[in-house]
Amino acid sequence: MSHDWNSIDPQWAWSPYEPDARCPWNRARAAHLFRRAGFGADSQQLDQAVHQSPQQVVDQLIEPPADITAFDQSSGDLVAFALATGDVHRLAAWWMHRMLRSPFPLQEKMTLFWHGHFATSAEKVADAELMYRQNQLFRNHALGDFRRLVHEVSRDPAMLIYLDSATNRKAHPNENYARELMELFTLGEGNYSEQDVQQLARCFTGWEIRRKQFRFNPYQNDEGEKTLFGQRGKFTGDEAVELVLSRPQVPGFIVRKLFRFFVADEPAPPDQLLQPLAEQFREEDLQLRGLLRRMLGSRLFFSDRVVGSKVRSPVDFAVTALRSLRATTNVQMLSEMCGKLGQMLFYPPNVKGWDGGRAWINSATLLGRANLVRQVLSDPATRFDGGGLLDVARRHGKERPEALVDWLAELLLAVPLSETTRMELVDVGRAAGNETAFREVLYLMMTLPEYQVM
Amino acid sequence: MIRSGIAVSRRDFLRSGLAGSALLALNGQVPAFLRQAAADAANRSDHILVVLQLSGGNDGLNTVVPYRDPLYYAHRPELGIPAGDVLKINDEVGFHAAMRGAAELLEAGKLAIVQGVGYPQPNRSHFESMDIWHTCFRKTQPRRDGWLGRYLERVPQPSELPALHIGDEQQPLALASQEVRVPSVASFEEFRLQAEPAVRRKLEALVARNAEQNDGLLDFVRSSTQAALRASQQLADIAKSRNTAGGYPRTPLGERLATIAQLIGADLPTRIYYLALDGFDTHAQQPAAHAALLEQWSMAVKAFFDELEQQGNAARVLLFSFSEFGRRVQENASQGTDHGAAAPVFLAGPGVRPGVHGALPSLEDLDDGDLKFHTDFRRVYAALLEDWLGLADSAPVLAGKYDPVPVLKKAT
Amino acid sequence: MCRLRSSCGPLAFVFSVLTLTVPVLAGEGELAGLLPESTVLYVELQPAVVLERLLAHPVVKRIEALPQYKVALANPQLTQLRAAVTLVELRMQSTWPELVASMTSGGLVLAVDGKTDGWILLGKAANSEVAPRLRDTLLSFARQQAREHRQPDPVRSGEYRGILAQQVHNVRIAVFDQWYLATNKSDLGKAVLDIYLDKSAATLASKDSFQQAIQKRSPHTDVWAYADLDYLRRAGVAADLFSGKADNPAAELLLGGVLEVLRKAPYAAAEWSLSEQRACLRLYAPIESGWIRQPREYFFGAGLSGQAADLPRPEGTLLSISTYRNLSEFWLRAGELFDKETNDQLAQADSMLTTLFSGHDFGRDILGAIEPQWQLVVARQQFAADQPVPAIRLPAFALAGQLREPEKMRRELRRIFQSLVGFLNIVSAMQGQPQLELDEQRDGDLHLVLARFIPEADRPADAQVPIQYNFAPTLGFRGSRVVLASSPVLARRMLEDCPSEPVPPGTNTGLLIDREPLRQLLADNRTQLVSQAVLERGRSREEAEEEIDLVLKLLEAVDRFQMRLVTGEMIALEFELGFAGQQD
Repeated sequence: MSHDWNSIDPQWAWSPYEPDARCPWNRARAAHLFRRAGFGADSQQLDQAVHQSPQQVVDQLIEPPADITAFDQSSGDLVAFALATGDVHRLAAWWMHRMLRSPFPLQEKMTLFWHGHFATSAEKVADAELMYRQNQLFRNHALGDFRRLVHEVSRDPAMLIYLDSATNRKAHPNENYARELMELFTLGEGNYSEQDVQQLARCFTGWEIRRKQFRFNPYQNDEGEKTLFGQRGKFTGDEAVELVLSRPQVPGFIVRKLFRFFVADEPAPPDQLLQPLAEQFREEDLQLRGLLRRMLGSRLFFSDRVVGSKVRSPVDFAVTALRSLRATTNVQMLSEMCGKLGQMLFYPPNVKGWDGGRAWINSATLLGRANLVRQVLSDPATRFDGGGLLDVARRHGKERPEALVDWLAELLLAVPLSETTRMELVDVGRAAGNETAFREVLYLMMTLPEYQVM
Repeated sequence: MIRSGIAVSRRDFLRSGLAGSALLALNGQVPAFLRQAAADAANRSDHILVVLQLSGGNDGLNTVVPYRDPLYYAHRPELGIPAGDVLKINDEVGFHAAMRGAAELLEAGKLAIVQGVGYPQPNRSHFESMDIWHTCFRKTQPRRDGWLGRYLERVPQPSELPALHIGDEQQPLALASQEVRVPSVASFEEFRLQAEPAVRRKLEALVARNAEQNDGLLDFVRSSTQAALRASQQLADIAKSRNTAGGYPRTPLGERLATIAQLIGADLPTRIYYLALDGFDTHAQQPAAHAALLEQWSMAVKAFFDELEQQGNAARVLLFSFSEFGRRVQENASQGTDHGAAAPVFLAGPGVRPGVHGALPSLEDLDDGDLKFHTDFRRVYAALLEDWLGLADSAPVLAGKYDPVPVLKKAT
Repeated sequence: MCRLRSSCGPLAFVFSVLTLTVPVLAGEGELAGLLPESTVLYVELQPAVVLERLLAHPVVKRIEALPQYKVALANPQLTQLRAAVTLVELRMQSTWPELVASMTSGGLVLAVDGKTDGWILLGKAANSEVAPRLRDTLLSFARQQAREHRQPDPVRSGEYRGILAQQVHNVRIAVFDQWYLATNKSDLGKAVLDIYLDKSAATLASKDSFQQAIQKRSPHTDVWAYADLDYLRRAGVAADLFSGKADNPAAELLLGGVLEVLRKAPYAAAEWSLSEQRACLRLYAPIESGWIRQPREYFFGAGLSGQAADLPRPEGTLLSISTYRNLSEFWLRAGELFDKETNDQLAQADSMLTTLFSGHDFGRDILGAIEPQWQLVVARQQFAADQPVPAIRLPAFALAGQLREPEKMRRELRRIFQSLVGFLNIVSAMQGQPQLELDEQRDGDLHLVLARFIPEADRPADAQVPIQYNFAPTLGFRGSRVVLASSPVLARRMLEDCPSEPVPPGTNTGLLIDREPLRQLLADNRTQLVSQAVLERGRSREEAEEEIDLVLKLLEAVDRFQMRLVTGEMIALEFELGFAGQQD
């Protein structure tokens, strides 16, 4: 398949998806939406989705559901435990539990996006509570106002500790946060000058972290005149953030990152393709909800070239299969294993976050993925809707091996299995016709190259 | 070329598998001439560098002992290694008595020692000094990556696993890069597919069967999966056929070096391996602890090259061992030594010019009680990068032009 | 007769019919008199009695009353097993408890033979009819099953010296008078039949070590086992265990002395008994002080003279341990005790510990300053009103001993403690962790040096108090007594005249676990334990709550647990679990 986007009309791409014979609204396309906008759907959710219009389903995914409050409350007990141990790895387990169980998965997916975007590693911050506060910040603004998010991140203790700005003195402005704010968080390389970095750093002097809280220290604040993007003024830190956010490159920069996260890993799309989205984002004053609604409800998003065009991240790899089968397991172990595969939550490799795409895949991680499935499936803590895989399959009338394979493929895979592969899997399921054989089918399916993309 | 026990040559393997997948990865995004360059690079040099870090600050003076120098015994009344015990290297220095393995390597022409390695204004904090060795930068400068990470970015890599960190500690900063991700694996087990032979065969068949051209991304994953299964199978075969762990100490270091030897034997295309041995921070009761570490180190390195020799891979491999600093010349009151500065580093393998390089820094002319360095560690790095790994110019990696220490035989 | 399972409690029904009173371990060597001398392992029990005691036990009754128990019974494998049992009952026209009783009224033995490497089950029934009938029934099932699978007759029959011997799969069976045997080795079966027919005298029962072992048996024993250590050593079984070089310092400290005895002792035996009040397990073997080589003298003291101090039980004690261990001797003799790799690690640990203890030699100066009687107490912690209460409430612990030179060592240890706290503060300041504040309390001859984590002044009210706040390292002195504790409250209680429980003479190690403080500790942390089960065991909140409540409920059925290692004429390791009195 050819891989540039030049042949695609941007207007067509982002207009609302309307099912037709070539691109029908069915369980497979609904599953695609749930995988990308969350962590997969179970069989029942797919049943409901196909009885609604695609736009209705997108609308539901994008708004907080009624039961999120109750979920947050019970999740609060879990995080209290994680924080009481002071162990960031337990905090990671808590987050993975949210991904697995939250009734508002898009919120968690966007929180993960912001965690990779405003990457901050506990390796350096070394404080579970600060990592949690930052995580809640991402969650609260997950689908909200990008402008406010940037303002709050600029004062976030974990971020400022990570980028060495916890003390930012007049005599030695620390340029680290100023540089990353423009290069990685809002504008992208080439859209600012070295002088802008120095001047912006001056605006942030006196911004400190004391006893885990943000504090403004007027004695260390450089109140002098600064020149930023050619404008002169005695800008405060907040005013400087506003100036950065008003640069014309911001919407395009964010839209490009969201495209790679939600739509396709590669190749990089031309600006022209992203133009309509960037314009909307600008017009809506950097509000995220409308942008996501349009992106996830678009013709391009549901087109065949987009389905299966992303490599699953370790978290997507581990969580979507479990969520699709309503499975519960030892999430502590699960999150550690994702760490071994290169995605330890709260520990991104550097300030650029996870690379994603093909970088997830190598011999070590592929064997690791297979072994992760083996371990999860043999762990006594792993249950499918409270019981065995066989029980779930029976409940859905899928106890015949053919039915099981087709049902699992529909839930888990974005790309179709070849007929020979399908028959091989059916053979495995038929071999004994019991729980072990069913788990073996699931193991093989999750180890196949087809499951590594979504 | 066919090596003992392995039917597939490294080059065939590269062409068919891992390198193929890496090149496919570039397909469509990179002009043809660059892809050609990548292929050339993959075939140009198959040298492997193993970095074995000695964490905690190794006491260089009690490792390479100046047994003729009365000042040494004056500074080390309790800890000095008696001249009769040292394993003599030359008329000036000798190995600690526990380092028989190192002495044997030296005798076989496979060990080089570079004396007096360090850097200006030495820092005595473990973390800071280690960071300086890893990044080549001081705290005041931006440190986003490490020297090996920068090297990896600059050279088209022969495969998808250009470097590996073996160990369960945090990944060393030396491997950090903005572009290249280096996996950390705790042990050999992580390269083993945990599946019954029947399941493994099934999987191999399923992955191989769908070779028809499909989506680019899926194709990439498929060939990577084939390569992974093959690598895992080759490792399993090697593990079965090798003479069991001859001579390695039964410690994590011994296991990890044995793992690396097996990975090399399995023709994994990895060029850089990194591992660490901790415990050198001997502030008190040093004699027994230090002897145990040195013996472990020498035994493990000796066993490692013995196995590589058997495989026929020794000539491709160079092992480099360093510590973040040496220790103070004067021993302390607890039969120990405190954080110091300059120290020797070690290079092992048939590719070295064996023996001692550079003079032992004076025990008289000290810098605040520490040995003065005369060879910047970046000169050793320059030798590794240019004379071993074949990098034309190490200056961008080391953030400055450093003259390689002539410790390696020139590539032919 | 109660045949309808539905009308009776599923386990209780069994015993409504068990009215036979059988003397416990009626065999008294009778069964051993049929086994060859080469028997290396021998387990004798009275199944009907053991089952009756177990199932009529108040604790089991409590378990049967739990709703979870009924759920567990619905397990398909159990259901299948019950169906099979019913089938046997129908054929035999008897209930299975009756069957068990009449089949084993003369005792039942499971043994392993060293010569043939085979196992054997040997039993004596109440009469000579029941065993053949049961055999024929079981064999007919095997034949029927084979027919269903279109397989040939699985039963092969033969004769040995006039006794019918049969083989199904790998198992050989013979029934003779009231006796019956099943074994996997025909030579072993023949050996037993030879003894029986020839009235041979050279049997296990006549073996010296067996005679000695059985004489040391306590009167009320439900299950008794014997192992021929001489034979096992000669055969090279578990050679590592008997060799004496260890690679695990913790295991060496716990069991090194016991292993030393097992190197020489001719036999070891075990006995088990159960009553309404307690369950006891006692493992014993002969001991002689000459068997203990010098490197392991640290364990029992010279000439087995080491005697543990009393078990301290200050308020809230959930675990108390008192032991004799000459740790200084242990540390200094590590070279002879451990293999090379372990010694290399210990050398590194020694270097690090000596650094931490400001240059004092850890083995000689620190461990050597304290007498070899050690006491360890773990107690539920109460937090002072002005101290932050951590969200996870760990128990406090205290390690106590006697100083050899109190005057000199008190000052020395106090200084080491202070520099250690200073060192910790520097390290934790670098990592942004809370700081410790030093304090001292004097009260007559009682003296505490302590360090507390300082409360963070501007912490948000809803923030979790971290787990570190469970710890306030404390060093306490009174006279020659020294205590290292994780809480000043516990240190003080240990030093004031705290209640204690004496241990019998010859006690090397005593251990006591008290139910109520343990139960309270779990109850204190219920929310946290529930959260942990959700995250780490994939439970739903409801399931996790039910589980922890079940554990709390089960704990109510037990009283206290004790363990003792005692030396004298014998060495004995005794475990005793007490049960709570009936509440309802």
